Amino acid sequence: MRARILAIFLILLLGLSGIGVKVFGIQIRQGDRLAERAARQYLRRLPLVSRRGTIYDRAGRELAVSLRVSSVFAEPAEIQDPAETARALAPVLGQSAKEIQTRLTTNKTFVWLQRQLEPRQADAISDLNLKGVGLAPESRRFYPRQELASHVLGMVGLEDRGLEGVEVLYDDLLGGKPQFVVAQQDALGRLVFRQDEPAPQAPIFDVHLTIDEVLQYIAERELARAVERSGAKTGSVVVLDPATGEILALANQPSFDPNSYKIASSAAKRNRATTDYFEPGSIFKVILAAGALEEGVIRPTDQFFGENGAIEVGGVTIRDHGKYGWISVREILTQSSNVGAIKIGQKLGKSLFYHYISGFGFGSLTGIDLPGETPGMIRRPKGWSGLSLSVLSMGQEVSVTPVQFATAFAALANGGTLMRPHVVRGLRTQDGTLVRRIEPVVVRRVISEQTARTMLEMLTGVVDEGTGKAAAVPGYSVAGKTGTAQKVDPATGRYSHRKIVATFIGAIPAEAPRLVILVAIDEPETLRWGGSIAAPTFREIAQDAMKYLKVPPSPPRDVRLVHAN
Amino acid sequence: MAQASPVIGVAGAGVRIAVRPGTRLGGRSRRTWWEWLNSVSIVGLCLLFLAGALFYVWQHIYVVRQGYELERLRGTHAKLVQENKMLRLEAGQLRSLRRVEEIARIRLGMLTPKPGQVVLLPESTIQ
Repeated sequence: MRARILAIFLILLLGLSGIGVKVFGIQIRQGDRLAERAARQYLRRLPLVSRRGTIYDRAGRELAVSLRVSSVFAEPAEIQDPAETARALAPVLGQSAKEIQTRLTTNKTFVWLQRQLEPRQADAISDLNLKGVGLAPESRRFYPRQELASHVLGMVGLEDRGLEGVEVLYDDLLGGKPQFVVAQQDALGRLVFRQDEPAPQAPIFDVHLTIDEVLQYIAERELARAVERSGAKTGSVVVLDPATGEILALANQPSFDPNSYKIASSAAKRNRATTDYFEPGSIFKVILAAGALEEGVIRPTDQFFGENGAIEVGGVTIRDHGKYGWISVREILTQSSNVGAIKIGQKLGKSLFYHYISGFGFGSLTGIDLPGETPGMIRRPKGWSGLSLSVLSMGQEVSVTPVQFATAFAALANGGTLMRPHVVRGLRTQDGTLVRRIEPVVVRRVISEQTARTMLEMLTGVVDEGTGKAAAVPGYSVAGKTGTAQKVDPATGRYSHRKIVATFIGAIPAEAPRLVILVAIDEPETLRWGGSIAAPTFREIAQDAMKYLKVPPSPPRDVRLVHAN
Repeated sequence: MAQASPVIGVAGAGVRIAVRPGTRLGGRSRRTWWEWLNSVSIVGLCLLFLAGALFYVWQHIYVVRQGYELERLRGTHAKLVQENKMLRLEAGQLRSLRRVEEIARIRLGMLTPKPGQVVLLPESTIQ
């Protein structure tokens, strides 16, 4: 009996010792490794879809929003029958089965099959329930207004990083860095608990633009029409508020839809208004006249002899459009006389003219909050040839960007102050709290208020009786200037008669400008004058803009409003 | 009867139960009560422990169930937020000014007002 008890005791002891040894092995020797393995099994690292900020226009209309979409990936090692999997995926992804199969048979542990699917594609793949094929959430940028303001907005790449425009310049503030949260899952992979979502690594902001959707649409529509009608190569329109330097519309042709930027050409994606420069031609006479007036070397009524339409400077004969005799400064501007401008230039002199050219911001960046701005080109007076002063007076030997010229003209329209142009008005947190308002920045005073007023008054003559009649907007007084600049033909190195840039710059209403609008049409095939293509485009934009902004018409010139008791 | 002895009774024929002097009467019934109490307490403690264990397990199961529910609601919430965003995006696309102008001009035959048809008054004239 005792022997039996002893035997049972020994067997039990042996068994328990075995268990003890195993427990020691599991708990002590392999404890850490197994605990980590277990944690890996029940803890899952979930990617949080980044919350990139929204971009709004000045009235709070959404121009760029981020949505959660799915991307499909494969883990080739998990797939038993790549051919069958590829056949099932092909119709959903719109790719050939062969192409998919090639990607499913690589040595890689993870391959993307297609990024940023349409919701119906994601649902279809989910329904297929294929082993080794999964869906991962990602953020995708959508631009609900398609092409509208595409050059200002820019676009976002696959990794949720800005590539162009405001999207790249404000990339850090718009946010969108990938983040993860740890969650517990059960044996079936169902989520049970998750930790609290981490605070974003950097605060995320919504960006509010100065762009007005309606004005932007009007500018884009009219520019597209002008480019089409004239058979031009490209074109730009800049609409800004002269008082603040806020860009209300910025349009370029050709344009693109940032929703499908990958299929757009680089020419279409180019923001010509800030990156391309051109010789301004006659619109530059405005800068010359403003400088000469400010320095007191001319008065609006001063008379200059037009040399009957031709003048010889440095051995070169420069011709006018008409055989002018004695003409006033006002007429030099209204008729855009080259000879008259040359004479004003000679009176002003090299250094003073250069002082005003650089004072109006030419040759330096405007500081606009868009990437890739170019400063244009202007040589220092030391490098000028005997002809330079004369041709500069007509707007040659200087190159400017559309935004640069619009900003300079805005200084005339606002009483003589050069403002920094900008496209972002403010930043708000995602709950709508305003965290940063972008205040207007005064760069410098260029001319006095009196000079600015005189210039605007003279420039109304361009539209009333001069080269810019087509820019006249019924009911409103417009101060503007036409320009038709010859381009240098790269093949010959000489000014081409075929390739021109037709421009019109104007302020409306002239008595208290609300808008400055620049229209530049590059290489029009027909309607080859600033007055015949750019001026009517200005009129169409200005007319609709005045209605939209509810700007009351200008008072008749010969009527003064008085208070009647 | 012979000499008086501390015999208090006869348990049965021929069996005598001796009781020490000083032993209190009724001791047998108190011990039984104690034993009963003892057993009841053990059972009670066991039950209490079991109830505690059950409560502990129930609590865990409940929390896990709530976890599933929370995740389900979180999923529904995310889905609804996503749906709302999609609808706003669609509304944004439909409000595109190009489309609105096309509908107004082509489908509804609307025209841009001619100069003079819209009269804007200076604010100072509005009383």
